Amino acid sequence: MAILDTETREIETDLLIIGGGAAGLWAAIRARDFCPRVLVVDKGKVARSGASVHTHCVLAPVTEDKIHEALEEIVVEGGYMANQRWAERTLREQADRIREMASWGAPFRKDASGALYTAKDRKQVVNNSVYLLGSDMMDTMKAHARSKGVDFMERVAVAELLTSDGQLPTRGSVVGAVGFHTRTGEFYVFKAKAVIVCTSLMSAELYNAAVNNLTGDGHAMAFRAGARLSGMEFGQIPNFPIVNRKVSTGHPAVFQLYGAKLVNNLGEEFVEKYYPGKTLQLLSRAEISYAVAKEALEGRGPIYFDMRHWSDELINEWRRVLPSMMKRMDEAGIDMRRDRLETMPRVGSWGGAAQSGIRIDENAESSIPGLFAAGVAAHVPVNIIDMTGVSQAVCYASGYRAGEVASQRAAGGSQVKPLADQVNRLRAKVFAPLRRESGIDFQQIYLSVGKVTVPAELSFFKHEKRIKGTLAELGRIQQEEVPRLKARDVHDLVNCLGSQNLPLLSEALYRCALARLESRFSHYREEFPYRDDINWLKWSIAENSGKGMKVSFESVPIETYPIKPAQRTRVPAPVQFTFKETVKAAV
Amino acid sequence: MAIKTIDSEKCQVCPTRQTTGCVVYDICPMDVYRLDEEGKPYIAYVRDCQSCFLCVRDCPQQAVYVTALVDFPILPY
Ligand SMILES: Cc1cc2nc3c(=O)[nH]c(=O)nc-3n(C[C@H](O)[C@H](O)[C@H](O)COP(=O)(O)OP(=O)(O)OC[C@H]3O[C@@H](n4cnc5c(N)ncnc54)[C@H](O)[C@@H]3O)c2cc1C
Repeated sequence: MAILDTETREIETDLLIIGGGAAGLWAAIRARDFCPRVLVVDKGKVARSGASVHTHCVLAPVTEDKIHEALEEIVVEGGYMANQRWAERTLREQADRIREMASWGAPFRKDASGALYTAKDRKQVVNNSVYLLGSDMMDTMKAHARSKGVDFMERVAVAELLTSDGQLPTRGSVVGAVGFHTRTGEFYVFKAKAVIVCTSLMSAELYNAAVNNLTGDGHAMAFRAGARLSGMEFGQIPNFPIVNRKVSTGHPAVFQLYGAKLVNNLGEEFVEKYYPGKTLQLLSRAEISYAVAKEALEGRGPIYFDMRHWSDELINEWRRVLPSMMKRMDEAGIDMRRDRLETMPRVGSWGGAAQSGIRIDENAESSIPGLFAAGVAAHVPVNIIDMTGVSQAVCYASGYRAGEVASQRAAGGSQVKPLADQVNRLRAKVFAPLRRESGIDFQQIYLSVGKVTVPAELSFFKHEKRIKGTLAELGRIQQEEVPRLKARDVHDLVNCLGSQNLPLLSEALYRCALARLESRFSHYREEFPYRDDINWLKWSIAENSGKGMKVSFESVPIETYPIKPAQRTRVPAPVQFTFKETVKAAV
Repeated sequence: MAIKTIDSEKCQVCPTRQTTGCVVYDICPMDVYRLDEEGKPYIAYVRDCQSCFLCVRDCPQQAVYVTALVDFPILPY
């Protein structure tokens, strides 16, 4: 096949940024203040690929007098697991980030007086949100990055990191990366003095949130290189995007915020039963999903969102703000003024920045010298409570910081030449699915992994016995299916490479879930149905020892933070459930 | 899999395509389009369409039709 004989292109830069979403662009823009050559490489089209283009809501600027209160809201609701230094930085810097973006022309929504329009969004009592369409935001930032001299290379998928000792895992540092052009198949070798991974989350089920090409590439390559991942057991993001078993909306938050009712088959509004005193607006998607799953599993499903009382005005507003969601409704023949919407809980995408990702320190550096991470690819434990808009804010803050530190490191550092032997080995590995005469399709990997990670008794409600079953199957998939992946052409090679990460990162997730003997956020263990702050104010660490995956824990340094719990206790999980085979059959 | 159609007559007269190139080919996150000899887009990788509707929004001629209904199995929970 001609593609296998393509030339190798060598590219030299000071700072390599993998992924050009909001985090990658903030990193690039800031980095140009300190170093001359900044290159953003993206496997799609910057400003159209990834999650940032689909956002619509951003944390509002926080005034100095409100910082402590705003921080407290995030930390206390998040069960004291937040990294308070990152949280405080995010809150403090948000006003500057918004002001800068507005000065570059980002069209934030304004109120009648011409000021930023602000409102309370999901989970917000103290904090507020401002509104900006993701595509407008990304177009503005891309144009600004260009004007600052950032270089872009698009349609190049980065596949693996290069290391100073040529080893994965490495004992040295990261010195670049390899990848390939997704249309021509040209092989790329990037030499860089520092690398920032900004590749975002992982779509664990296809067609759920319009982010199919976010496939955990950064998590997986960092892991293979020996970087620590953390919080993986919280990586599954419970959500309820499937409507009427037909379409996925990707934006269930809107149902929460504008007074939709969530009812079971008996017509009962059941959420209050699990979360006394809390309206839908004040609950995370995980909290709602757990209640929905339990109701359905106990035979009170299907579960419906009911917004038949919504005004035409409100529905028209959603047509304007979220046209793709409304289009999905129309296509499925759903009229919100007439129909109730059946909803299904899912764990479709993994790894929001707050919950899990590449472990970074307060300079956004990973556990390997030369390797930084930012945005959703990094583990920046701030928005544990799933407050709308904070994910974006964390992308800005971590991108900005990563760009600042990595570029200064690059400006003062020297280029280390990648080892030819490692480059050749990786080239062979990357193109292997193209070489195979026959084999399995990438969608098979999603299905195989989905079968042992999506069902409620394996995702929402875990038990040691079932986790072990999932781990055994994930091992089999990695040994028997992944090595047989067959790419139809270069375009399909992108799919193949992405799908390989899913069983690997799922293994990290289930290994950490096995080790955490309590229940918290999106991690629930039937045997331990309580949040245990006495023993488990800790983050898990998963790393590649070279001989397999190693799991350990690191305590949250709560005594060094401004906000501390009055006392550490055990609190029962709000939704408790013990899975029985007979119940499942009734769903 | 999203079934899609492109209105080729609208592409034929698209001024953007004739000057700077086809927008939907340029922007698709999943890269499902390819160009024919005339530089007009066709759907080369239909199964990879994720129904994000970005092409529908960006196409200057409104020549693209995308459906959100998927025929990929939704696994039971
Ligand atoms: C549908 C949806 C709606 C959301 N809405 C909101 C919201 O309203 N407010 C909010 O705060 N948060 C929202 N979020 C969360 C959102 O994920 C984050 O806020 C943020 O946009 C993520 O930014 P990022 O820069 O980390 O990643 P992304 O914007 O996803 O960018 C990652 C980039 O990396 C590239 N990439 C991936 N792998 C590779 C590779 N191997 N090689 C090269 N490039 C690669 C991708 O092509 C992509 O361009 C939403 C998420 C989704 C999925």
